[in-house]
Amino acid sequence: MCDGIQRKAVQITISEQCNLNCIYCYEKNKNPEVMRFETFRRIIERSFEDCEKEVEEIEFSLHGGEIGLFFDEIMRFCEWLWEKPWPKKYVCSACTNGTLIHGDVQVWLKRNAHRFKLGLSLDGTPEMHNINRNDSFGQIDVDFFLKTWPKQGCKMTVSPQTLPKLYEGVLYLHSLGLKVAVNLAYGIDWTTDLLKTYRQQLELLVRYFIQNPDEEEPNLLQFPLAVLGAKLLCPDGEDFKWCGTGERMVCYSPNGQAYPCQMFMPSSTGKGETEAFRKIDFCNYKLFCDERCRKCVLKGVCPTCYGQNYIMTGSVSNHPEGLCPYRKIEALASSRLTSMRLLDEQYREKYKKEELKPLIRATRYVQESLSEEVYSY
Amino acid sequence: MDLRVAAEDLAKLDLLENEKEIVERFNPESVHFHGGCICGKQSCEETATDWP
Repeated sequence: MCDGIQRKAVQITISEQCNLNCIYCYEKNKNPEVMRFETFRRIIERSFEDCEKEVEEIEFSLHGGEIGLFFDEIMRFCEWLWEKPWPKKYVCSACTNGTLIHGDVQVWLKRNAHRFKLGLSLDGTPEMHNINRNDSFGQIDVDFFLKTWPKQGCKMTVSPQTLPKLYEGVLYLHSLGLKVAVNLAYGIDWTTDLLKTYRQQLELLVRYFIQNPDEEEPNLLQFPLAVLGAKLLCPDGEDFKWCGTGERMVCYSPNGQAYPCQMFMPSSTGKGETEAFRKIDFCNYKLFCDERCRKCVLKGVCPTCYGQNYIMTGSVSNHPEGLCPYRKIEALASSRLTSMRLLDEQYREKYKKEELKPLIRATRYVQESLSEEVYSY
Repeated sequence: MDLRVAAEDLAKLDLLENEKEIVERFNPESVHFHGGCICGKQSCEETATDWP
């Protein structure tokens, strides 16, 4: 995440083919087509031509499926892109399961690491990773990723099967020197069975990050309390969206068709999709607010995936309710960690001045409103 | 580690909140990520450089 930079995210799906079949994969309707060079060229040219004035840079995010299956194409596409002058700054990125990033591909990536950033999906300890991702841990050269893109970190997806080991998984990735972005798998029917376990895992994580204040906690413990506090202090504030879907974000399928993001592609929405989302005004943020959330303690500030909402409920605003108590645990855990930091004078100075009052208000409010509920799970 | 904050610490937070003024209207845009994706795909953590 690049704070303050006006960035447009252009996702380019080179192919939907993948060499793994992860247990939580939301791309259930993959198409074997591979993007042709002409399609790629048209997307790049159009992205610069149509780019809004205020956008400072474009991120071209090449993805799959698994991009490692198509590295010959990617090398050819990128080298064409890099040879030409363009009117705005841009960066190329991709994410991979890492299993095919070896040999000549590594040599090319090392040479171009300053202009091609590769993120790795790594789901915790080898045992956790292998449960989620087809026994593939042993095929990944983790050290290569660490040395080539030390700032990039990894993405750790948690499934119901690996949730009981969440704490161990985060600490393992930290011990490797990786920054971790964690999320509960989307598209899963999260039931109440694991709530107590989730709370216990977050208790362990909060303890660890209180004892190790110089280490950065994963995003699970960064519930947007300041945003909640702002809503409490100013209840008539404007609605907002959590991501740039359909606005600053666009996703192209291998045949060059544009979608609001990858979640709206037929590979994710499934067969028989009528593309009713094409009628949605993605700039009208009111359409993205779940009315049920306005009555919730957390006032709808939980990050949500509008594409997954659409897939699971037919509406971009209606999120599946199964995740709600999990978000409440995250909010309480984050408020616990934040309270310690707010009460530490030295640490308190690290917060932005304008953030302090909303943060304190939300910390108290979450504690007072959610403690009993979370400890009834 | 219990996720509940002790009553005495909540009282300290209460005092602290009363000390703080709203410096300026807080803009949620400043802390939430509006540009890219929050879920399915990983975003690039680095900004574009000045090349080529």
